[in-house]
Amino acid sequence: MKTIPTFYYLMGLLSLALALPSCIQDTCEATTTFQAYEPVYVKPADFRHATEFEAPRDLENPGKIYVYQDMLLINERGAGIHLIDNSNPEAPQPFGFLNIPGNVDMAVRGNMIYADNYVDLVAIDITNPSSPVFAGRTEEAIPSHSFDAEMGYLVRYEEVPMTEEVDCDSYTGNSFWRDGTLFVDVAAGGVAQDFANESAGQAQDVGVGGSMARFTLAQDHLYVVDEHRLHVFGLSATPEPEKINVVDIGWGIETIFPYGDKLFIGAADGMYIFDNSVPTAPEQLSVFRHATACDPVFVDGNIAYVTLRNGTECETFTNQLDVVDVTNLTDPVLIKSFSMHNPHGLSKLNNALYICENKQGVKIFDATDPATVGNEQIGKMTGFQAYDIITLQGGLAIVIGEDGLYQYDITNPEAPRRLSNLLSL
Amino acid sequence: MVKHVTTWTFAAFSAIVLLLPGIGKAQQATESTFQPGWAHEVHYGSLIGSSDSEIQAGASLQYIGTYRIKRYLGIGGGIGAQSYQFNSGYSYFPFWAVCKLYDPSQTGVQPYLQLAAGYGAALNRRDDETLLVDAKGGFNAHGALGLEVPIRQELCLLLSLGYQFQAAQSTFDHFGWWWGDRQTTQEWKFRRIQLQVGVKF
Repeated sequence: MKTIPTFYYLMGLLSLALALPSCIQDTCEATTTFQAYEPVYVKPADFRHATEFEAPRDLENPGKIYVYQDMLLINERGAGIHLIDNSNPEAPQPFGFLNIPGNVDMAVRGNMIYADNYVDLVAIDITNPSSPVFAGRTEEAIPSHSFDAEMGYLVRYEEVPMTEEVDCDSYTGNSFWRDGTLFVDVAAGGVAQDFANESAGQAQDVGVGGSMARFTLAQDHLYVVDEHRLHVFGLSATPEPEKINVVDIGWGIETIFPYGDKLFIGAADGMYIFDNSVPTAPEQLSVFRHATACDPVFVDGNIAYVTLRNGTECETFTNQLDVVDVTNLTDPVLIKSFSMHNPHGLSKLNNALYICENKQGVKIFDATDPATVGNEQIGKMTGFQAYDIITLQGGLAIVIGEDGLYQYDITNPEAPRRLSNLLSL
Repeated sequence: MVKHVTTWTFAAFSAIVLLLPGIGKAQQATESTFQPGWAHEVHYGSLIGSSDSEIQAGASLQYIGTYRIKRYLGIGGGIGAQSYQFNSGYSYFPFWAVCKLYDPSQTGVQPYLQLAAGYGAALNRRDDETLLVDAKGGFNAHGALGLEVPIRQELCLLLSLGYQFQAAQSTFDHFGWWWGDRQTTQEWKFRRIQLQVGVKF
């Protein structure tokens, strides 16, 4: 019996201890990590000068690619353009590097490069590619977020990783200003003013861009899309482009692809189709809506191929290929969707569809039947990260990605043969 | 409402546990003889506590095997499953070393003190629905006072009142078109009352 009081004593102590709220209170300490975006301003005097041509430099952060005759242009993100003699794809030789601060895209027509230089467009004559000549500048051709008299143009936001303590049950999604830093994700609605692209079949004096381009040439005009608008530039009067029209489109505009007298514009919420029979005044015909995603477009005949992908800037979990019948341009119809890994740029040559699948390289599909194309993989290019691709008549595929430039002989798309790999110049 | 239910449950459980020693008096005549050997226990219980002034109720299921090396001492180990919130990222598989102390003078209904310490491994490492991207477990321990009530030979009813602790970490993604992507890591220390019933065989 003498142990019963002991038990009661222990039980009493335990009950008392448990009755104390702090003893049965869960505690939680939470930290949240996110990207803050600090505004980057550039003063006009720092970039408004004649473009400099420098010795070749290595590819460090390659972006868009562009093909003009036997020349290959590779954008170095935010820094300029590598000019490369690609007359022998098995041994491309660098001409040099065009130092263009803020550059992300380009297009070429009649030996003239049109490239973005932050908010300006510059024209550079490459009649002699070993010695390009600065030809002119269109100031404020591409709108900036803002201009500050002291600091200059706000041209982009730089990512800054941040960590802060938060309440465990607090809503962690907020945007706010702090000490001049915008704590939001503006990657999807970013500030980059980029360019380029041209579909196959253009005149000989116009180059070919990839499907990721924001910039294209068509019918003697230069078209540039920013996040919301389509800018139309005339090219005939002077070396420097002259802005002649701006067309509001919507939001999340990402790519532009010309086909005949039509413009296909990839946006976060769909593919917009514009009639461009009057080049100075493109007119929207229709929009093919899809899930929110990043979506390069390639059009061949009556079929549009649209890749949707996820990622930080794309705000979705969708990774697929949409095949769309655009026979009736005012009423595009989805033929079928196919699941993909993480599709980026794409191109089509003859009956083969080439899709950049990020770390999985390039996948090649038999596109004879649009209704089954995504199920008919016939080949692949692997061993590198693939961002965008250009295919050329004659059987050449040019692929760009984080790992540099790769060129393949695709005479037989079932067995592509690597011709060269370029990272060091 | 939840608070009232929890309070009454706690009170009723405490009353039962506290009254049972009295019942044990009637059984003291059946003097048991001590023999070393294995005993197996299965417990089910609730994990009651609070978080930010809100009552939290979880659940636990556990198996404990002890070897009775002395009349007053059994040692062994156990495994279990515990959920502190019924969402992904807050459930664990604990495993413990266990020590169980008995009052050697008691026969019939046996009061005991059970102590266990070990590690609780996270059950879900990822969950696309809740955007859980990582979960880690941590130190897990509990102590309980209980009673073994003989039902028949080699079968006892177990009732216990104890205290449960689990350290853990859960990381979630947050996606947002406007506010951007974030990743939040929560460092938890769960402290709960553990009310359990079980059987020993």
